[in-house]
Amino acid sequence: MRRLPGAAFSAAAGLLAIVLVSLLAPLVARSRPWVENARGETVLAAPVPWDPDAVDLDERLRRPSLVHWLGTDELGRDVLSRLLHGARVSVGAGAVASGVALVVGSLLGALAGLSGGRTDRMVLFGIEVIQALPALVLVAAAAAFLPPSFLLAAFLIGLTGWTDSARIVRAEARRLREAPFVSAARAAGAGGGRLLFRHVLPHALPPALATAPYVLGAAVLTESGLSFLGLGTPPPSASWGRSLADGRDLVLTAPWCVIPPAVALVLLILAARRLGDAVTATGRSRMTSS
Amino acid sequence: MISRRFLATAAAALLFAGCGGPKGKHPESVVQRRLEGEPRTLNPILATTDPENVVLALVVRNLLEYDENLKLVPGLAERFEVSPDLRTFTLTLRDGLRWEDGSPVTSEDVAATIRLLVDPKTPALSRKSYWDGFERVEVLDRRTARVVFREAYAERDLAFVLPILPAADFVGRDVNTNPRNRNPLANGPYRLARWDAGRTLELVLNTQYDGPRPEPERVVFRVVPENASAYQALLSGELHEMRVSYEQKTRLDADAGAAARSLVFDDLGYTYVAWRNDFPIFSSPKVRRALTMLIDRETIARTLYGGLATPASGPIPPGLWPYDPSIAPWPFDPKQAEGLLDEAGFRRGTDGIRRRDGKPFAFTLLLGTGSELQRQIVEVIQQSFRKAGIEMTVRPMEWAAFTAKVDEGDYEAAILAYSLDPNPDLAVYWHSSQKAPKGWNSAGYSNPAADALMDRLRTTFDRGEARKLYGQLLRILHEDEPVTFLHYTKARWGISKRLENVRTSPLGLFLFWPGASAWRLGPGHAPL
Amino acid sequence: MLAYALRRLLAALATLAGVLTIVFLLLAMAPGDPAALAARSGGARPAAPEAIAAYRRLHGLDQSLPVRYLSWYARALRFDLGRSFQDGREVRARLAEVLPATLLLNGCALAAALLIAVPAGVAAARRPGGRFDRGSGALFDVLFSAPSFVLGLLLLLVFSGWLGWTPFFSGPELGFRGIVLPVATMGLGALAFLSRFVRTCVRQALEDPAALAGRARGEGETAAVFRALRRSAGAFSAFAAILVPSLIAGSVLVERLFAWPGAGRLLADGVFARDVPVVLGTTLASGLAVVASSTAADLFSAWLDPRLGESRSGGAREGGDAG
Repeated sequence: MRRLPGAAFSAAAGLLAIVLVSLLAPLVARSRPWVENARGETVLAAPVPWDPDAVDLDERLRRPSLVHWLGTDELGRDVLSRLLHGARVSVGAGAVASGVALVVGSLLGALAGLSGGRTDRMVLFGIEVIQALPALVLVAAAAAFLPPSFLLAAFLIGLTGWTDSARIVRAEARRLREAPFVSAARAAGAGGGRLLFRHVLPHALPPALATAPYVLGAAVLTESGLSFLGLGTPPPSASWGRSLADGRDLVLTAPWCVIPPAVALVLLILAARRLGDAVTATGRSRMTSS
Repeated sequence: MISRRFLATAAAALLFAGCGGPKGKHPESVVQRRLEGEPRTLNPILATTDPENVVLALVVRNLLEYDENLKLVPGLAERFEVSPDLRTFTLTLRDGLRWEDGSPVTSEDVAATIRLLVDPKTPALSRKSYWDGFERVEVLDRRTARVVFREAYAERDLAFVLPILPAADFVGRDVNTNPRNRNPLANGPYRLARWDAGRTLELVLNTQYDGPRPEPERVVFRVVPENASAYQALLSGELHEMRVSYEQKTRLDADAGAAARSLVFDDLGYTYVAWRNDFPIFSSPKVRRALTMLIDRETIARTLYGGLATPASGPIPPGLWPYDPSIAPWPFDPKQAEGLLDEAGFRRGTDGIRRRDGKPFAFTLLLGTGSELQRQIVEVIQQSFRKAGIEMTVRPMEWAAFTAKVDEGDYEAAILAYSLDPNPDLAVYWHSSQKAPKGWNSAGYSNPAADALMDRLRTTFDRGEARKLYGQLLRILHEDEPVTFLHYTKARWGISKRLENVRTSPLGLFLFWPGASAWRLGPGHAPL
Repeated sequence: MLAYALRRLLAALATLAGVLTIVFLLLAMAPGDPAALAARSGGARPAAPEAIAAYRRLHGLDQSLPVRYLSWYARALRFDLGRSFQDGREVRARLAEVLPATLLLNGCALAAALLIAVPAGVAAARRPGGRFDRGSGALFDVLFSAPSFVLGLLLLLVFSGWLGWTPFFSGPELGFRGIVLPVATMGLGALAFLSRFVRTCVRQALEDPAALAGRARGEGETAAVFRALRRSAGAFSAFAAILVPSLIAGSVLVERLFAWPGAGRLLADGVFARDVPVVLGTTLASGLAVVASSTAADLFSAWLDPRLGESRSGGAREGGDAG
């Protein structure tokens, strides 16, 4: 149980904050007031009184100020409001993509590594095919048939991204299959499922978990690319990836459009990394105590 | 530890590299030019894209050339005679013309080129359409050829802005795999010296060329696909010219220390939003006009275009002769627009959304990838429409998929841009016989009066008469507003302060005579 | 051994055929017609129908899909990958142009990243939660999150624009100066997950009972780390099987930014132009890399740990299998 509470707590707190922001954004950042009195006067306004989509060309590329705390983007939209509203798409896309990749990848990888033989060859075939498949081709074809939505985009990212964790977990599982404590468990009559979840995954998962935050980060960045190829969230909805992509040409002249989403992304990855550490530590302490 | 040692090595190597200094001063006069992409071919008959055409403009001359005002002037041909029925064209080549290998340019070359061009096996995608109705070509003597067409066409002489291939290399050989496609035989001021695929092309002076000799001895073209990095190179003088974005143009003007200045002029571009005319909500001109009046084109031009665009009144930009300045663009007038929408039966419900017969005014607009500016304009339009109770969904699409949809006419609305050529003939874009998927009238516009005018213009050879007819046609198109004509756009270039005698034309800096062959490279200040 | 090699070869061929078939079908499904796209590149007015027909005939687009698919294979078996729809050049020649440059760039980037990430990961694993662990972790995360376009542009601005140390247009022929910026752009972003992976593996191995026992025996710390690295070799070789194929893939953004003629651009341009021969050719190249590195990884881990071999049922040993 060493160090566990601290790491787990800070990770959980960080992620909780990001999730809260993404859920509360429509309340916190909007142009309509929270509370009006009978005469229609504003009694209580949202702290960020800007509609994320409201365009105002005469206010474009304003520096951060008391009015627009993080400035305005190339269409005069409030950067902070778009950052808050973008959290839902980005965190959602990242979580779905890395979740799918991690779950599908580790289960298939562990299954392949544990059972070997034909199962292993089948999974390996799948891994190699997906790895060699240019994602761009898949996207170009998928965009024609799937309705644009960030969840679909995230799902697609996950489905092409599971191979990494599958490979890593498979290698670990292959090693563990022959480890003394797994043989002992098997001799003691442990079934496949118990073997997988109690004995193999806790050891095989950490290396795969180590890469998960970056799968998540890559998904956030990729989502914007997909939206331009017709798969992700279409305009005007905000996302961090889109703000980063749209601000590409403004890096040198209006860095305030690009820095906030980039910082948000760093924080998200940092929190996810902490969470991965915490999960690993929990698994380890469970193993040593059992 | 290892990492520290590695960093130290890297730093040392960097410092060492710095001492050498990457830029020696150029002893000779070399123009450094930028290509946005790799040329696919240097066969002037097969060439289609900009990178190909701008390289070839210095290597091969056309029979006739555009001058900077889009007038036809002699090129390889010194005389050009048209028969009274406008079907027969007689060309006489200049005396003493030579290919870079010293052999003479003859009327046999002209005839061979034209025969190759009209050969059904030749995929000359951008040239063939002018040779519709071709009948025969005859060689009269070494310098004279005669070309006969089956029918007359008012803009036929533009077909002779035509480069020539050497007959000896092309007759009897497959045009598509001809080695000359990557190693063109020059008859212009420069010849190709080196082509490092994907990276650079190098031209040197063609000693056999009989025209005025350009001052720069070499022209180096670099394939630099990314605008942002090309711009950095332009600022420090490593590149002498590039097309800049509106935003870069503004930055360039503000940067007095840069090695380059901006150059802005009218070209033949305009942007528009196509509404499928056969789609019930867009079928009335009143509604289409209302949509136009909801868009604040003045503000968009002032902000997103940095002032380098003007609201458009129709499909002929100011650079083309039929342009009619007396037609004013529809004003930005949301109030009047909403009135027109009410009249058309689209009334606001309690939720603010406009409906007719219970159906909301809602549609999807296609946005092709590639233009950041178009994306911004669309987002502005989307918000303007939302205020007026119209729900416009934006569907971004990869370029290939986008053009497929547009070519098939399989969309509701789409944002598009044209960069026209000097031919003002509007039939290919607006004649009802050219509706998608057959032709480029992808909005599906149809008006018998407009059709009749376009038919008459095909064979109206008198400029004055044609101008009158164009005036009527443009007015009809303006009233009908088949699409929302957004802006006439201007060309923006960044060019080195060392470059002198840079002339502009509505076709840009290169695709006219003398184009870039007249450039001189002054001493200016050497690159930093 | 022979049986294994044969089985592996068959599997490799199946993989390649599978990928190529999927790519061909996806390209056929994706909206967009190469002939229409080429015609549109001609600019202001529509191409004459005969010109488009000539283009279709030239590239075999007038034939049915199955015929096109099979004739591609028939030619590929004779090492002929066909001609690009875009410029009519042989795909083989185009691959020969871009693959060396891509391998060089990616290889240097990966090598540089490993040189930094492995020691950093090991150092972090030795004092988890320590100052170095947290500092390097955060720094690498920032480098990862900065989009490679932004990172590259800033490098270009500083080193080529202000300092003038590096050329604007990268190229292998310019030696170190010509490659350092794209290598840095690609390598810096990769530090985060490389070092993270090393850190996790080493830490896990260090906390293994065997390592604890070793320490009890008085084993030095360096020896313990090397033991740990060796114990994680299986995971590392799996990781290598992930990384090595990406050496061929290339990155469109970085290649564009530094005007580097690489495979990433070739593939992207090919997909966007629906240039089937180019896309199939690049897919074949990347497929070969995947299959080869995947086989190598399995052989390597089997060699490290002969117990793994190619055992069919749990526990059975086929020791000589991979030796």
